[in-house]
Amino acid sequence: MRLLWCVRMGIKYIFVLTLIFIVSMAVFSCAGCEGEFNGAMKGSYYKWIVYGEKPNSVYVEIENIEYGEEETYYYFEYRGFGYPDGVDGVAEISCDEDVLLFFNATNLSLRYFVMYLWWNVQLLREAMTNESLRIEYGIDRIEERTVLFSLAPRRALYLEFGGNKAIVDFGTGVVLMLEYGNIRVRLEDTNVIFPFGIIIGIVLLLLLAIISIKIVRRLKR
Amino acid sequence: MDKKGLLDLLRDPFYIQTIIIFVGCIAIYIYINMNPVLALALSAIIYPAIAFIPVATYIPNMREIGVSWEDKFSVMIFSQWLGAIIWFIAEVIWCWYYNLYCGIENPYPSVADVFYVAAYIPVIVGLTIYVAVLYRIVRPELSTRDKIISMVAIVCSGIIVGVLYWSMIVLSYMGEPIPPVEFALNVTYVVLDAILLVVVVFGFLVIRGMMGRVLTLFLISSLLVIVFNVGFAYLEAYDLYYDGHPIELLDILSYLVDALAFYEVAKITKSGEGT
Repeated sequence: MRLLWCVRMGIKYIFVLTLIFIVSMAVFSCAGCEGEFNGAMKGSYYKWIVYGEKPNSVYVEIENIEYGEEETYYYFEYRGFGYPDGVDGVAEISCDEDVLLFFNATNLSLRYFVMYLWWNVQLLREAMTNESLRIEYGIDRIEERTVLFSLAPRRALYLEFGGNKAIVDFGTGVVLMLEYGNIRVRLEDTNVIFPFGIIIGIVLLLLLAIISIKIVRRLKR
Repeated sequence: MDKKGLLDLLRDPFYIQTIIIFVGCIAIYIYINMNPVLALALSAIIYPAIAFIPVATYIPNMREIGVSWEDKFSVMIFSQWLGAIIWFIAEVIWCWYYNLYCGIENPYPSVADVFYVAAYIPVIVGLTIYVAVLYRIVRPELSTRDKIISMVAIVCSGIIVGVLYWSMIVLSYMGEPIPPVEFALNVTYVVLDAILLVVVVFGFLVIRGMMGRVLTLFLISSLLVIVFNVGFAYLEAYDLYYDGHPIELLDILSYLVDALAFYEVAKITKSGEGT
C-alpha cells in the first residue's frame, strides 16, 4: 500500500513537472527576437501634460508587439505635438536593444522635447558608471533619486543634458518630469505604474492578518 | 480523513477563508494573464499580504506554545514560523521594493534571494528534528524490507529531482557562461530543494501514520515550494518567467497551506490535545 501510494505521488509529481515543461517549451519555441524596450508592453499607455506648448498633452499607447527575426516591432498610437489628431506609428527595436530614445526608433518625424519622453534605462544605467557613454549620449549628469508619482514612491534617474533636466522612471524608462527650455512636462496618467500599489498592499496585508488573528482568537473563547 | 471530517473542515471559518483567498487568487491570475500590463503590480500587491498570513496566524498562540528543546513539536513550529517570517521579508523585498518601488520585473538574482535561501534553513532543520523524533517511535514497527524500499525511494527522489532541476538549468545556459552569482544561487536552490524533498518524502513514506495534520500540512507546503522552485528555475533560465506567471499560484498555495498548519496548531492548543 505504502509503495503504491509512493508511486502514485511520484506519477503526480512528474506529471506536474512534465506539464510545466511542455507548456514552457511551447511558449519558448514560439518566441523569436527578444529585443525589448523597457515599459513598452502591449496595452500600456502613457499620458504627459505639457506646460508651455500646444497641444498641452502627449499620449502614447502600445497597441501591438510583433517579434521578428532580428528586431521587435512596437505598433503604437501617438497623439500630441506634431500629430494633434493622432497617428499610428511603429518603433523598430533591434535585438541589441541599443536604442537610447524610444521615439528615435519610430517611423514618425517626432522631434523637440517629445524625443526625450522615453529612455532606455539599461543604457542609462550603463552610462552612470561610464563617462565615455555619457559623452556619446550627450548627458552631463546622471544620479539616482526617489520621487513620488501620486502616492507611489518610485526609484528614478535624474538627468541633465544640454541645459535640460529630466526625471526618468527606473522601471519603465518614461519621463516623470522634464524641463526642456521653457517647456515643462509631467507624466499624468499610465496603467503601468500603480500609484497606490504599496499602500493597497499594506492595507490588504493588515486586513488578511486581522481576519486570520480574529478567527484564531475565536477558537480560544 | 472520513467524509464527516472533511465536511467539518469545509465549515471551519479559517478553511473557508483560505478557499476564498485561493479562488480569488486564481481569478486574479486569470485576469492579469489576459491583461499583462497589470500583472506586475497586482501580483506584487497580493504576494506579501498572503505570505504574512502564516506569520499572523501563529501570533495569538506564541505564548502558549513557546519553544522548548524538550518539546520537539514546539521546535518544529517555531522553526516553521521563523521560515515564514524570512520568506515574508523576501516577498516584501521582491514585490514592494523591486516591483513596485524600482519598477523592476523579475529581479533574479537579487537581495531577495538571500532571504529566500535563508528561510530554507529553519524550515529544513525544524522538520528534520521533528521527523527524526517520530522516526524513533516508528522504527521498531518497520520491517527491513520497508526500510530498504523507503530509503531507496527517498534517496532516488532527491537525486532525480536534483538532477532534473540542475539539468534544466545547465541546458538553458548552453553556449553561454553562467554568471558566478547566478551559478552559486542555482546550485544553492537545487541542493536545498533536494534536501527538503528528502525530508518530505521521508515524512510521507516512513512516518506516514504518525504524522498528524500539522506535520502533513507543513510537508505538503514544502512539496509545493519544491515544485514551484523547479518550475521557476526552468522558466527563469529560458527567460519565460514574468511576475504574475500562473506558476506563482503554487507558491501562494504553499503559504496558505502553511497558514492552515499554524491554524491546526491553534486548534491543538485550544483543545489541549497532544500530537
